[in-house]
Amino acid sequence: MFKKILLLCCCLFVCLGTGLAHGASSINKFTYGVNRDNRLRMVFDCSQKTKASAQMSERELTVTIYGKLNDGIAKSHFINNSANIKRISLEPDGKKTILHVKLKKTLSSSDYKLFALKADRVAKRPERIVVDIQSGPIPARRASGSNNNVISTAPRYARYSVAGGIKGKKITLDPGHGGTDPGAQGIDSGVQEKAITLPVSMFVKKYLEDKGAIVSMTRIDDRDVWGPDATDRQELQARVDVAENNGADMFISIHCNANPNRSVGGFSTYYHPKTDYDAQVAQCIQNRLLKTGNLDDLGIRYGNLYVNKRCSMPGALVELLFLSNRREEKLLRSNWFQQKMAKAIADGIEDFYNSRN
Amino acid sequence: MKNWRKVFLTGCACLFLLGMLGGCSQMPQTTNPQDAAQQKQTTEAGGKTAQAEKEVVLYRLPTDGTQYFVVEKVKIKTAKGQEALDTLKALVSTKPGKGIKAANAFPQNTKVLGLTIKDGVAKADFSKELYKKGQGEYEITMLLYSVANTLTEFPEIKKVQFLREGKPVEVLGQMDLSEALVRNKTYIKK
Repeated sequence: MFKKILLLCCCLFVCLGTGLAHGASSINKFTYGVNRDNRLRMVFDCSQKTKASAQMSERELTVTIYGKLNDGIAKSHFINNSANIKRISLEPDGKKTILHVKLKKTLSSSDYKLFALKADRVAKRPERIVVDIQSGPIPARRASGSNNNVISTAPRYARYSVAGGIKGKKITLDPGHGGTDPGAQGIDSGVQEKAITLPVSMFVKKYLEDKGAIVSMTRIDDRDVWGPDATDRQELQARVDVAENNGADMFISIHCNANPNRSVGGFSTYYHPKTDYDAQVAQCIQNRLLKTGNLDDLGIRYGNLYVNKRCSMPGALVELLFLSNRREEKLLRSNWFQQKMAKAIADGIEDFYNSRN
Repeated sequence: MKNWRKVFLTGCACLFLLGMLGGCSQMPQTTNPQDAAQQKQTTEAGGKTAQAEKEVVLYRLPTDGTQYFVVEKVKIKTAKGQEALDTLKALVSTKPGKGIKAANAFPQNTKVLGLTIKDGVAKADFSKELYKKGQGEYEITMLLYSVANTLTEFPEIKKVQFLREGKPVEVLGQMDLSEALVRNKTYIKK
């Protein structure tokens, strides 16, 4: 009897569950932020695919989202760093939610965008409704690049220095991948490339600072540098921008390799011969990396890699061993070997500057 | 009492089935671009005429993962004007000959969808498999330069632009593909 009741309960539960999934959508989370192009992005995390519509009236943008607002979400928000937006408020209206954006001046249709983003299982993101508003002028620094997606290939600063030793040199370190982009994955442990490039880069930072260099980082935690909604190109350009905006003398990107053939392994350092120094920087780092242990040498390589090519200052992209190789995966995960590789990279950079004296 | 329970059970079962059906009806929404790609491929391969045998050079990836390409000379059947396309297809879809220490490392089901040559630039159109995420840098650079080097063996081709199902590709992994690739001599053993 008890079993039957349990079975009945299960049936009911499943029915209810399926019923709910087809019912009304609900808004479970509301987030917003203003990026450096003065674009306000508001994101509504929805329980399922949800319809929405936008209407511009006199100094107010109204967006109707066909989902019920969860009780825990605050209804009124002030945007501090915006030139044009006064206040945003959320108004629950039965199964709908109405977003009111009070503006200082009426926007044209090209100044705001409403779109849906599909659920992303890899990044663990639900169905979303996104509202973008240009909340102020686009800063001149990025206007040409971000407005029409044309990215200038001309070096913006040709002011790097290679002479006078490592002391006082500005070096930008770029821990590869991060945020929604995990990079390659270790086969045995499942460790992600982004979780290795970050600690190694942080160690490199420490060693370089000990040598007197001034280090800037493209990221210091697990995040996308441009943002989670960036194209691959925007994400890489954002890393280049960090180096350019810091007036860096050198740009070093740190990655791990992978290959379907699990026996393949070794160190390789990529460069782009845009200056007379790139190949030499790569060679100095590669030489030091090879001294860390009995590991294969894949050499310094020309690979037409984005960050190498688009940075105006000399630099290299280091591919630390292979996550697909059993022995190397273990090494990459171990703290002492991460430090050892980091020291080798920092020593290699110092070797380069010493050779220029 | 027993009757009531039977009715209730049947009711529940019906509801459950309905729920399942409802769930299933939403499933097959996505279309598979692979099918479309395959169709294009077959129609393309259909109208070939007067084939002749020609010796061409393929740049293959070494099995031991070392830094240089393995150069293989093969004989392919091809028609006039189709040499570069057929060579590319041979590179992507055939295995290296016996005794050659090289591998076909293109991701499974990668297909050449087309090749057009204009003003020295070859636009090589591949199916989406080639551009899958999470490939290592070694593999990506080697694969794309194996295409660029194989195609630039033809005197009329100086650069290679990569397309993904007809659309230009900007970036793959860390590689900048927004401009056409030139031949990479650093991957060829001197």
